[in-house]
Amino acid sequence: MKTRIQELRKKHKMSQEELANAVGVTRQTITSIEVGKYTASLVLAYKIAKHFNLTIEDVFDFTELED
Amino acid sequence: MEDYKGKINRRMTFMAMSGVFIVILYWVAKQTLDAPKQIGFITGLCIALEALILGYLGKLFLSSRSASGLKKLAISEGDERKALIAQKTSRAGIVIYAVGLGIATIAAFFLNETVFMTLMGVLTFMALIKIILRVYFQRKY
Repeated sequence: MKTRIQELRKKHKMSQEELANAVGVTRQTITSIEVGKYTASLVLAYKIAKHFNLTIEDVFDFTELED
Repeated sequence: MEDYKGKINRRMTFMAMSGVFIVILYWVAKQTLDAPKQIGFITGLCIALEALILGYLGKLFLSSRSASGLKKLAISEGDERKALIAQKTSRAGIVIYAVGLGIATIAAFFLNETVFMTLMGVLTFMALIKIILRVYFQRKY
């Protein structure tokens, strides 16, 4: 699943480690989500979206599900 | 975080007690066993177990010394991706173990009856545990 996490991190000048600590996962998990290897759970997706003050749909790309 | 620290402390106590228990077990085994092969096997096994316990205890102790270390340990243990990897590894591993044991059981049938019966027992036990756990988790979720 595609996400805007990398774009949002760079916009907020945040490292993967900092985001990972903020949402309670390891840096490797954030890396895997950014490259699309791992799909975050609903709870984690919510935490990441909330961290950037956005909705889940603004952070995660669900267009492939709609197709 | 205080709850988690308490949990880590309890785990460290349990691991330390396990280490002591293994030493006692080794001492008892050494008193009762005669054959050098058996003593050698038990010695190696106890050394390996103690090394694992001490390594894990050291990791817990170093993590529990600071709040950041504790948080890092908590995150590492609760990470959902790690949990998924562990789950998939276990599932694939069990299938591979079962197939391997099945092949060994068939081979043992032609070679040694005692080994065959032992392996059959192990396979039966594995199947029984799988059934029990499946029923348990189906009811839970």
